[in-house]
Amino acid sequence: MKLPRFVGRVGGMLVEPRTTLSSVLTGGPGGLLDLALLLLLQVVAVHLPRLAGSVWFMVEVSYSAGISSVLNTVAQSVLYPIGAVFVGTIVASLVARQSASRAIGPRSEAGPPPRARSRGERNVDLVALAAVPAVCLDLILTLVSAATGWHPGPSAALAALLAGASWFIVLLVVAILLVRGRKEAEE
Amino acid sequence: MSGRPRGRLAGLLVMAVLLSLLSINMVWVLRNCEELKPVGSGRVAPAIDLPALGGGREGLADHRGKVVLISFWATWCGPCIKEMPMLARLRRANARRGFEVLAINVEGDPQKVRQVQASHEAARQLTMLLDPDGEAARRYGVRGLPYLVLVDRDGKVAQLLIGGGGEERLEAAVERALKGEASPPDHGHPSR
Repeated sequence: MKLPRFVGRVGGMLVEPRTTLSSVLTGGPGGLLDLALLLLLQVVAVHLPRLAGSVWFMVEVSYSAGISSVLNTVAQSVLYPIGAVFVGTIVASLVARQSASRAIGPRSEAGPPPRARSRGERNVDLVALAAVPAVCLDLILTLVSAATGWHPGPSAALAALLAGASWFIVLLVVAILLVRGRKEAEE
Repeated sequence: MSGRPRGRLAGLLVMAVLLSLLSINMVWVLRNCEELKPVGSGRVAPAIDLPALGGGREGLADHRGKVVLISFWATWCGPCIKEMPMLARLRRANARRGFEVLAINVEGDPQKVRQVQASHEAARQLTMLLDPDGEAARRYGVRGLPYLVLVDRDGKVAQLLIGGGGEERLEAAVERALKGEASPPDHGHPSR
């Protein structure tokens, strides 16, 4: 995975999601790995104090409790995005009703030809990209909170969660429409 | 598409957000090394001054000169509630020798604690403190429950027992602390 392309796809999902999703739909790179890398960066950037404390605890007191604490931090951070991708992929697969195991067409960017992506892999990649803006929104709110010292109450946290979920659902619908449109064009 | 300028610019902004968060947290970590340092044996136990379930405030300072077992717990933590009868027994058996148990509820919700007390006799026999802001849990670096910290008569951490230490092990640790003997170098944790 090339970093500039990753950055471009993450930004692309914010400002031109349809084009970015179309690129992946037509065999371009990106998808689940983009989301995984973004989540990894988020865990490190947002939870650095907890991770540092856990590693210190692991070294000085208890390996198992320290590792458990690290895993707990990571799990808490990725729970919603991974859950959303899981549910979204099921929904996308059901709604898009693609024919089984159809390989995707040529890559839209220059470079070596990619390995043909199965229908399932492509759906996962599209849904994973649809979750990227929600993660970015969470990051921005976390930065605002950290920079201003403002701690959102339960209602504000719920509103942020709903905003992220709504953004994800809209992009999921866009992805499904693109998949269906492509299927109709092929037929 | 990844090569488009608008997308790349937006992506760079996201990376800038990530970098800013990382910087803020790195500065915090460098400035607060002491807070991140795990509470281990031989270290001075961080001060506690928390609202008590029965009203008023209570903390370690109120039990100076005693051996104190601090038990961090939550109402959703089954093992925590399961070990309460053992803690109550230990307290009864050693109260005259200068031993106290402080049960700190990390949720800090008095209603939930009262519900547990209503159904568990042992929970009524322990001194219940509330940690609504998680301040005490943070100071003690609580990473998973049950989380027991044994503090000796000098106010230093004698032993840390994570995930429940088992009755015999805990009894032995309390006995050592009451006699003023040093704790084993492995902090008494089952994983070491």
